[in-house]
Amino acid sequence: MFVYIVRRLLVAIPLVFGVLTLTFFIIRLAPGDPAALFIQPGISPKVADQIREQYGLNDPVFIQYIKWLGSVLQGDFGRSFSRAQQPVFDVIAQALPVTITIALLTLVANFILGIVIGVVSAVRQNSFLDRFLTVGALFFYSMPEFWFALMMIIVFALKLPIFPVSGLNEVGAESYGPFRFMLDRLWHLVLPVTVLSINGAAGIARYVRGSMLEVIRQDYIRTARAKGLPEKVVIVRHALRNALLPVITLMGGSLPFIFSGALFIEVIFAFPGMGRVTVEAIFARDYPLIIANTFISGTLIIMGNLIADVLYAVVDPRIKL
Amino acid sequence: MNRKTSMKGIAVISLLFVVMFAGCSGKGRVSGASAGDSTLVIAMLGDASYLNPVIGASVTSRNVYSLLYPGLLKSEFDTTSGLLNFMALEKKLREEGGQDPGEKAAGALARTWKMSEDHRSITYMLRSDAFWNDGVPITSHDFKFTYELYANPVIASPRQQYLAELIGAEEGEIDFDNAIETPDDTTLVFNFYKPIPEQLALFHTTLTPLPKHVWREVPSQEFRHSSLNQNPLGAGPYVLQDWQKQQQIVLASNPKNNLPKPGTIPRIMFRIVPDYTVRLAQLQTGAVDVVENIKPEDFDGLATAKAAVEIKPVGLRVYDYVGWSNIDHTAYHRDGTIKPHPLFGSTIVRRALTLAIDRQSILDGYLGEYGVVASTDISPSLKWAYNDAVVPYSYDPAESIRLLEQEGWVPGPDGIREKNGRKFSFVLFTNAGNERRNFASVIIQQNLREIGIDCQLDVQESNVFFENLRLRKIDAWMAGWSIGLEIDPLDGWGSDLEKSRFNFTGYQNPRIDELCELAKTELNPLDARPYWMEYQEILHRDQPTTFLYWIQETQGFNKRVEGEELNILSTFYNVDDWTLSPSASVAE
Repeated sequence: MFVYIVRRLLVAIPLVFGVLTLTFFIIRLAPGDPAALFIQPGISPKVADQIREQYGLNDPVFIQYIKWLGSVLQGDFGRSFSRAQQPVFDVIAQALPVTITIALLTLVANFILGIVIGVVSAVRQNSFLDRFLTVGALFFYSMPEFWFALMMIIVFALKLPIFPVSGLNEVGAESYGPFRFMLDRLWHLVLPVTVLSINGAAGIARYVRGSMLEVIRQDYIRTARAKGLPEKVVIVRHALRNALLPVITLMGGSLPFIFSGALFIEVIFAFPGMGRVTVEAIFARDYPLIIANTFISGTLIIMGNLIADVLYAVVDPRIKL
Repeated sequence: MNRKTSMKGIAVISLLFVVMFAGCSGKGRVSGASAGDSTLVIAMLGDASYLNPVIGASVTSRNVYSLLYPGLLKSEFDTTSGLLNFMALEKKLREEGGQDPGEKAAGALARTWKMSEDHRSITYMLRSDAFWNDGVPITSHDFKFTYELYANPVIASPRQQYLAELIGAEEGEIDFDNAIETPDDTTLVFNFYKPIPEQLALFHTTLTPLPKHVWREVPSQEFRHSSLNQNPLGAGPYVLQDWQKQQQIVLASNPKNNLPKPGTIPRIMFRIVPDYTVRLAQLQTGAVDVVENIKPEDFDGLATAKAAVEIKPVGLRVYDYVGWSNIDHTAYHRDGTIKPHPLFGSTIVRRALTLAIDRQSILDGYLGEYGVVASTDISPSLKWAYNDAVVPYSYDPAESIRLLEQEGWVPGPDGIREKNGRKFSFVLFTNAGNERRNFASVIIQQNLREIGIDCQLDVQESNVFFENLRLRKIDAWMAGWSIGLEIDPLDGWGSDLEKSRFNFTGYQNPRIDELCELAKTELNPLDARPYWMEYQEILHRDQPTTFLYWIQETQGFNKRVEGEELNILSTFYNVDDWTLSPSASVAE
């Protein structure tokens, strides 16, 4: 297994570089200009040129690529164009804590909710409860996130002012003690995490239900029942464990999501997370930031897949790596 | 079982840890009691880029840094004439029509100024009781130093244009030894290479200064990422207390300030809320006090909101238009030949298009009373230059059809007009994400179909759209302009298409060039009025674009905010004088 992991990691290096190189050329060939902000009446035409010079965009693309490669190999991904020339990893480091908080809370809620709903509807297959949960899950699954978020704001922040409309903290929260500050932060996270997890849980529930139904029909479940085990033990210990195998792939696949952020939720709830960093970078043609984001998400997707494969081998003795 | 619960426990603990960690990443805890009553909260679309007047490019940046830094003069917008007025402590450019200069000008660094007889130099006498927040006096040397920063190509300040008249600028490099003189700490002289109007001299010599004694050490390559940008040393009514990127900027009243005085409201918080619906909801709940650019369709909702909200309009500075390519871009790009565009090349056809577009019903449907049908690009708010006699064409499809047929555009078998085998069919481009323009473009499409013109709509991502416009790749488009307060339209209409970067239509009329140049030579802007009158008549006749409507921007305020004086310069023109009335409902 160790050799397998090392081999996969070694293969990942050229893969990531390939992705970065492609991104490098694609964004430079795409229409749009990072200095476009400075092309307007009342601003001297010299300014856009000076800005391009600063960004090193006046060289031929190939020379730019060599220079870029040189600094990336030294671990320097450059400075952001659009965010006051901060080093790109500083920009990302500022956005990550917010994104990770939301994503982890969401993931936990997602899987707990999803697994519970999935198991219940599989065990009570074709009952009213199953139909209700299935239709309900499909309903939420098909609902656009941004719309759902706005509806939640209208209902739970405007009509019934229980939760705050947006933001990470109350005005003046800086003066709270650490405990109250954290409570305030959690209070602000309730609506966004609910929106994200209801949506995601619905998908997971469908998965779990499917694989649970398959497992319940297996011979060893019948054997477990035949030897007189209580139904709870049969379901939780014998069936669920096996049914969760495909869910593990989902978990590995969710790793990039933890870091990439949820754009709509971040925009609507005014969280300064990774989703906004990425999208704003693309709109501003902020090349270094786009590349750094690609690097992070590319690496994570590869890692996520690797982790999922390894976990598979860990939980399923039939799979050898 | 046991293992499972302990796993859960670990997950919960690690989550709490992450939440804590995220919470503590903000710096600088402030001690203080209830924040709501003493904090003005302003919702913003995006974060400021730099809180540095030399490189801060966005409006947001300017709104914030203008509270941190002092100014040489104070300016006000005179609504009776539509001209900018400048004020020093003891002098005012135009005495008539304004209020008492004393109080408003109290923050100015200049006591007075003197324009030389030949209009080639302006001398400022500075006050001697002005200090940076660290106690160092503000002197004429700070101004000269900062102007050299503004001119530095490595720093690439977006305000270089303000230096275009200084000695040496005509040859490409400003000769600072002669262009800006500082005979002593309180005398500051700007010398120009040509005579310029006093109005322009004042406008261009009042860029915000930086403290020389701290910025002197910063090499120009590091200017943009110097840590001083995060922690600006200024001398304004407010100081920067906390800046959490992409979240909020908090300013605190500057207790020592005498330029003119510490800000009245103890704290001002600019919160970044990217989504319009959410900004609106926060205004309704009282979580924020000010939201800019409220759409007229939301006024009713605000009237019944929990928090008492009032809407205040500012002047007409922004207009939407439909651009028609006057020249054939393909020919122009091929070998520089100028020939009329096959569809929009004729003045009469363009006038017919304007007549066919029902601009009033676009306004009725979207902006209501907060829009005015436009005749040209001179705003009705600039009263001194606006030509009342030029009345926008009214909606008249019959007349439009008559003009088109006169030009030879007759209906083809499918109802679409044709001329010499060419169908009157085109694509109208606009940029993504602007509801108002989307709304207008659908009505325009409908209007044109009624007179037998086929107009397809295409929405492009903004960056791509503006690049296509700049490269003159599109034939018909809808966009908007926000006008400057100095009228200088040559960039948009000049006949030299290489020099006039914003003349996307390729419109050429030598008389327009002439009028713009003549207007510039007048040393008193009011003397240029006749030129602008004629300018508007010509644009109205030629219809290089179809001017749609001026937009009255409307800002929403929580009623607990008092004393705000909005004007066309800025919503936050006198924010340091605003007060918060504690009796009104306060955000919890």
